[in-house]
Amino acid sequence: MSPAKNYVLNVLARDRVGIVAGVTEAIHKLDGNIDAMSQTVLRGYFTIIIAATFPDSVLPETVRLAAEATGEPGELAVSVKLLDPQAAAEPVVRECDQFVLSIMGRDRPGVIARISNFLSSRNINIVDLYAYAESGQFVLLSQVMVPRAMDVGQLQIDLENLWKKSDFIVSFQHENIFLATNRVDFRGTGG
Amino acid sequence: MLRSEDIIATLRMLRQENLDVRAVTFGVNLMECAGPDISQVCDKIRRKISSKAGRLVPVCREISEKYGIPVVNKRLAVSAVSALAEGHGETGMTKIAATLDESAKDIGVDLVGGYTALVQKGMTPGERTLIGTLPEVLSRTERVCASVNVASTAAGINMDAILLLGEVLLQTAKKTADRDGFGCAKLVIFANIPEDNPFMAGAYLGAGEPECVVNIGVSGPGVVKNALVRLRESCPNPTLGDIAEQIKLTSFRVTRVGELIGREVAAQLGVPFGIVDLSLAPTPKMGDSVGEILQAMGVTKIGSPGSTAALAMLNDAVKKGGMFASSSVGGLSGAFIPVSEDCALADAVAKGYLTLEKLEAMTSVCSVGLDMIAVPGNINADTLAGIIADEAAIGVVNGKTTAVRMIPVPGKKAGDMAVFGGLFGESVVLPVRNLRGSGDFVRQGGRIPAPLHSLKN
Repeated sequence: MSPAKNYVLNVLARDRVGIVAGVTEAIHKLDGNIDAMSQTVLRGYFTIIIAATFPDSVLPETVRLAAEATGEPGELAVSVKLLDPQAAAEPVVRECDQFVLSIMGRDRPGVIARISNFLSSRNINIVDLYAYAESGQFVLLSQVMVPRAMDVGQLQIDLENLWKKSDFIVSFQHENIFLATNRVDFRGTGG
Repeated sequence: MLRSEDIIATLRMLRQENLDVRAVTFGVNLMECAGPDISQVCDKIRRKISSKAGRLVPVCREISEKYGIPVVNKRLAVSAVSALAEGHGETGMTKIAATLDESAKDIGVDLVGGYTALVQKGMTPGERTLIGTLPEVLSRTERVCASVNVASTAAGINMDAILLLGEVLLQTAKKTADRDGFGCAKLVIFANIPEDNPFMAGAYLGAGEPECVVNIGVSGPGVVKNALVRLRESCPNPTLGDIAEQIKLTSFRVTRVGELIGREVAAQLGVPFGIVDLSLAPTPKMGDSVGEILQAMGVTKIGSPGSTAALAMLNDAVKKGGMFASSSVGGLSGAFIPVSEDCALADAVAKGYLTLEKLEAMTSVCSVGLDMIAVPGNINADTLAGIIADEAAIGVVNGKTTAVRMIPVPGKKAGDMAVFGGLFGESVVLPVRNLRGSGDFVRQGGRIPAPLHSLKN
């Protein structure tokens, strides 16, 4: 397929059977080829992100309308953007290690805002985040990229101080401890 | 990308189940420090330990922070001092012991192992001297740990050395009588001593080991016990197969943590990584006990019939999980049953469920032998030698490591309490039956020949 355009497509809707089938069929009919996709369902709502390559003649708006038409009027919220190939090639933060941040405690408003502002102020990029509140208890699990030059010990102290005198348990650990204990094929680092 | 449930499973082990790294032991070969001038020998030892292992404690702290996992003990294991100090006599040996004690303190480690002699087939003058200095060294130094290998499957059992050590135990206990004979807690008498054991008091750097090496002792028994409690919550009537599987899975995770930390410590210190020792090593803390695992398996009165089978199953499952997790498994790698260091075992002894004879039977299926057992202070050297010989025979015939770490508690009789403090714990003094019934046997001296390696029934 040449020349070609790369788009990134996002769909949000209340979950039901057949959303993926409809949207991918629409892409196929436009001669699009899916390069990568990831979907998740949270509290009954579905979202998907798709990277796909289309013939040069296909416009973003054409893709959006075709995807939206696979649902009832107003059912699917679709957005389409031109994909910048450099986005995947260049890390958001250079020279970094992946850490796992976890926060657990009594639910209250503003926790995620506070922690994400703390992280961004230190140039720490969130690559995955999952949080939920259940029976008044809040749990946040996040994988973050930490610049290698950062003092991890000091970062841990600062994190603990964020919710001093509260019941929050905050931990911040290099991801290898989780990989080593869960992945059969983990080979580790170092000597 | 990590799954949420994997993250939560690891966090639970860290936060609720006492997952830690029990021991990071830095082995350093000191043979190049040998020489005719004892002052120079001591200077060289001091310099070498400082230059090679000086960063051990800060590196462990840094890695502990990075992974959010405690590294409980940082230790040193050095070449067998008997070989290093051969020819220097008592004064030289004790000076080296004092130097090791100071060096360990300087770099911030709590124990240093290697005041060691290997005498399974016979004793050199230096080895005999080292054994003779044990009461002095173990009473005068704070951090020095000693070990003597008196037997091996290949060489048999050196009864002359064993008898000598019976006397040494009594003298050491006497010199540390104000601490219930605590000096003896720092002496391990081995059959088939491993060269790469990271656990104290029996660690030393074997002759076949690298110049420097990092060996790791994995987490304690609390993780396994809690895993079994969780298994019972999710499955009210697990089979023994289910229990073995749960132990295996837990051991896999625990071993992986040990290897991860060990490799990183070694890399940062610029030395090779050696082994992960899978042994479950208890501490006197509640929730950190091998005895509690046996209880969680259903042996409510430890020492009852079935205890040996349960321990055998536990030990085997731990090894299977650990072996799959790492290709660098070594050391002792078995469940420890040190009575005073394990609250459930100490309790079983106090209640009379667990006897010396049953403990001996249990050591035939686990490492590392009769460990941290307080016996009456009026026991004689012959009887102590007989107990050591029995334990050595179990190791020699079964081709495994066994050991004796026994404390004759001065002035105390069976049923009294002996308190060693800290990680060494406390225990009721165990009765020893049939005293003075085997003196003629042990006093004959010589060596019990190496056993047959076929006809294994």
